[in-house]
Amino acid sequence: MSIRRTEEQMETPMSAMIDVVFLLLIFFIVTHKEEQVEAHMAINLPAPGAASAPSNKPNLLEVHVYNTFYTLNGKQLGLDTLEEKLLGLAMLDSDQTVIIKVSREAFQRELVELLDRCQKAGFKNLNVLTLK
Amino acid sequence: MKNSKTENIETPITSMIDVVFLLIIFFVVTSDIDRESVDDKVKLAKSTYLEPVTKLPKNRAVVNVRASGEIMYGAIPRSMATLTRALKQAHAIQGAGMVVIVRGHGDVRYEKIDEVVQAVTNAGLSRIKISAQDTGLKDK
Repeated sequence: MSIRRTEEQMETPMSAMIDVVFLLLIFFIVTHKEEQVEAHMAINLPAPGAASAPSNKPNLLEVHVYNTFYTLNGKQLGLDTLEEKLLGLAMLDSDQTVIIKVSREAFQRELVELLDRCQKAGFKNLNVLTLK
Repeated sequence: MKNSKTENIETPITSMIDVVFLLIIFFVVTSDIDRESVDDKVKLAKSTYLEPVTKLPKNRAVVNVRASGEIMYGAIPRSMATLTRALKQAHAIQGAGMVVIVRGHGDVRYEKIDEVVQAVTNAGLSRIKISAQDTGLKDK
């Protein structure tokens, strides 16, 4: 009888450890937030005091971003058509500067969509200005 | 003999402490300290082709622009003037090469982003990055 009791007492008490582990598990499940991967695009700013970029230079792409539509060198386009045009132009020269003028009424996502398409086409030199 | 029995009754907490400390170390190591500059109220516009960020620049200032138009820097709402002042201070501390990361909500009007851009320019800074949420669809 004495030997049996001693053996029973030698068992590892797991309950406290399991309690803590489960509490930690629940805590981290509850506080876990799915981390969103971010992407960044470097843009060039206008020089201080510059009202607008020189837009009369040849071979300069000028894209305007309005609320719901875009224009490329003055021609109104949808995003898909603009993407096609940008891809074609980038094949000729992807080093050329793209002047992006954004309307104050446009949404941020419209600018990001354009930057996304410029990146896809291969344009790296992007100047972003506000459309006055 | 009686003494030996008393010792056996003691709770062996060594393994429990091992597990707890291992968990703490794991979560401290894997937690991203940079998340503190991220405003949860800002839902970024989605992008497929912009380069996903693996490592943030060391010298940076993160400005969040909420859908309501509130400009947040260091978890405090800022006007253009106070943002300019705060960015100047950050620039003085962090030195040259500081990058301003603009986290604009997808549904915010560009006029608010423009305010941030003007504050950045007024603070004498020129390096700016527009932030978007990577969709992860580029290679699919």
